[in-house]
Amino acid sequence: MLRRLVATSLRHRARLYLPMVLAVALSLALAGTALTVGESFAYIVEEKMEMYGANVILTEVDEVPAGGVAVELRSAELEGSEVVVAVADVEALLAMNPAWLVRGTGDVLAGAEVAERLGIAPGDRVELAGDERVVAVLESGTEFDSYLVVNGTPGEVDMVLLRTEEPERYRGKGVVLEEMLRAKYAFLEGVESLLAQVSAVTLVTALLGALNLARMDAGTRRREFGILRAMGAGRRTLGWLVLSEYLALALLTGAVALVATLVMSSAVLQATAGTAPVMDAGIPLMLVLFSLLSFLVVGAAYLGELRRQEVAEELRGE
Amino acid sequence: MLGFALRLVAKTALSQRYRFAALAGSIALASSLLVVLAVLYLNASSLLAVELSGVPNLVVEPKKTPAGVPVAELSADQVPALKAREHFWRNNIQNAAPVLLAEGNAGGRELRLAGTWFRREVPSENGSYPFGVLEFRGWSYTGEPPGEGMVVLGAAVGIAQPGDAVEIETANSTRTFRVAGVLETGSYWDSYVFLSLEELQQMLGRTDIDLVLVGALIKPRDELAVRAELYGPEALSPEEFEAWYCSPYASAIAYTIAEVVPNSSVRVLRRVTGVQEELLRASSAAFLVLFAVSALVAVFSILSAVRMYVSAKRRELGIQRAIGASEARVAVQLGMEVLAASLLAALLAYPVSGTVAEAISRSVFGVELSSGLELLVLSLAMPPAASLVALFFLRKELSRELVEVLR
Repeated sequence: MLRRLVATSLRHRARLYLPMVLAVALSLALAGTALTVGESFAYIVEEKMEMYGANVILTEVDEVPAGGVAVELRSAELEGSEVVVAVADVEALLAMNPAWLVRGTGDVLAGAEVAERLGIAPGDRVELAGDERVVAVLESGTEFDSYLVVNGTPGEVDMVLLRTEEPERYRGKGVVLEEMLRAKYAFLEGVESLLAQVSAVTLVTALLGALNLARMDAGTRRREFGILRAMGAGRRTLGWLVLSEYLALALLTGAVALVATLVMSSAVLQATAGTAPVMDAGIPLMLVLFSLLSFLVVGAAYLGELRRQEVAEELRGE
Repeated sequence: MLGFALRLVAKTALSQRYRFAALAGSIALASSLLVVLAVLYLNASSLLAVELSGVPNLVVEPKKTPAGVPVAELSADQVPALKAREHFWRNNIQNAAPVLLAEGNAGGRELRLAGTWFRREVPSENGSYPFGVLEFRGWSYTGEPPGEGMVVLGAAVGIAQPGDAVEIETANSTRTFRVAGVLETGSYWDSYVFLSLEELQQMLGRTDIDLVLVGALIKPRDELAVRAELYGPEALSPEEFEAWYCSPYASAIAYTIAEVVPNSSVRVLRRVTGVQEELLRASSAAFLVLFAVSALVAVFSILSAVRMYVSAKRRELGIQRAIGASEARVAVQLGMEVLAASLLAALLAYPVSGTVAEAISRSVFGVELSSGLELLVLSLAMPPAASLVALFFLRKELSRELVEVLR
């Protein structure tokens, strides 16, 4: 009987409840999205750290580690001046350091400092060890700006550039570069904390919003409840009817919020970083629980409203 | 007509005060949320940029002749020029430290020495500004504040402990210093011993410096900035050059520094700026999309509130129609009620969103928001605008409902 009453009531009031469910579900989904994006940001940050390039420079080299780019440093004369020539696999070197900028195309890369000092522009021809070479200019912001970088296989290895997830393994054998580490954590903490607080504010707004929406609905069902009372339904039955309706709405809202969170966080992360969301198991649980809590509070408020209604007046048409 | 409608609105607001207050409350809540998010997201990128700018990302060096000799000496006296009025991007300079490099030894062990400012107040337009290696927030210093006769060891030096005495010998002189603490930079500087610039200059008999480390707030590169870097700013049209110069790209800041520090060459530390740019780009884009989603959610919440309000008043509005009020008149009255509720909501949204946004900003970034005007404009404009959008979407449904009631 109660199940039928609830189902009928929900069906008849679908046009009224649907916007309410969607409004609360979307607010919850916004909170879930903010949390999911905040948690997924750690992965985005790790991906973006690739721009840092080599994070270990080995100067004591017994063996070139896998993925490492070996460099030999030689001295040579260029345009009448002494320069340091770095012999390395240039393609691998540039792939490892995506932030480095190469101006022009050429057979050799003149570091920006060398180019400025010798007045070399991209595309210029220079004579190096008897051969004429076309020069491109490398702006790396590192020591390589003072080298002339030539593609080749190093004979003697003076240093190895390495991008590794375990830089600690190489401490003591060269320089471990992690200057962005502290800034990275501060940044990540800022993003996560901001989005967590935004999420908290959104959750509170969702709850208050649900309460307000129910407050507007209160009183519109006086005639319906009056008729039910006249037919013998007790306050307890009416209470169960309202609570059951709100429980069904809560479950529906939780499910919609969960789906919307997945869709919205996927959209945000795909649009901004091309990655899929990484959702903590606690987030769906939080959405459903908060949905239940919101609608239980709303249902309780609604019941309070019912108690104040004078059914007899309604039946008399006053 | 207007007076009558206003009286009706006033009467409705009073006689159905709970429902009217609930509508105003719903609009205020959704608008406040949107205003809070807008203000936070607008400011978040620049506040997060500050977190990322805690390490040097530019290096100022003297221009050199083909033989590698500086064209002119670089001096520590030129560092305040970075914060001077003449420097276009002075407000984006977060920190700078002059460095004089030298070699020395302590107890037979070879050392790399860097004479620098530990902490120094540099005058700027708005008072003074703390510069120095200990002011790079991405670097971590442990120890007592270094003073005269003290050195700071890079994290990889390991020749002594804080409090120990170290005798440092250079080509010209020998002096004993006390170790004040250890500086962890996560870079080449970890293998340096930092001395006061003036003390190292005295030991070496020099007055110049070799470079200046600069930490600047930058903007991620776009197509214009990439073009300026690949082909040089001189390859840009005058309009493009102006747009590039007036945007805080790392290359544009480097260009303006070279303008105020004559005979200098400014190197962009690309490994650092590359990461900073990528992180700022990702976070800005995420905030923008999140804001768009929030705006949709807020408008939908207001739409739902207005929908509930209209539904609750169906009977009353139907009676008005039945006694001869035109559909337009009913719509105007309803519009005025919603507008009145949204104006009340606007008055609530301003203090609420201001307080919440300020609290979050303090808690996350530890700074006050400088967006009073944005907050005021958004708080006052958002509720009526969103309510009108909601009414626009509900107009057909309202008309249909009234017809149903009249039947």
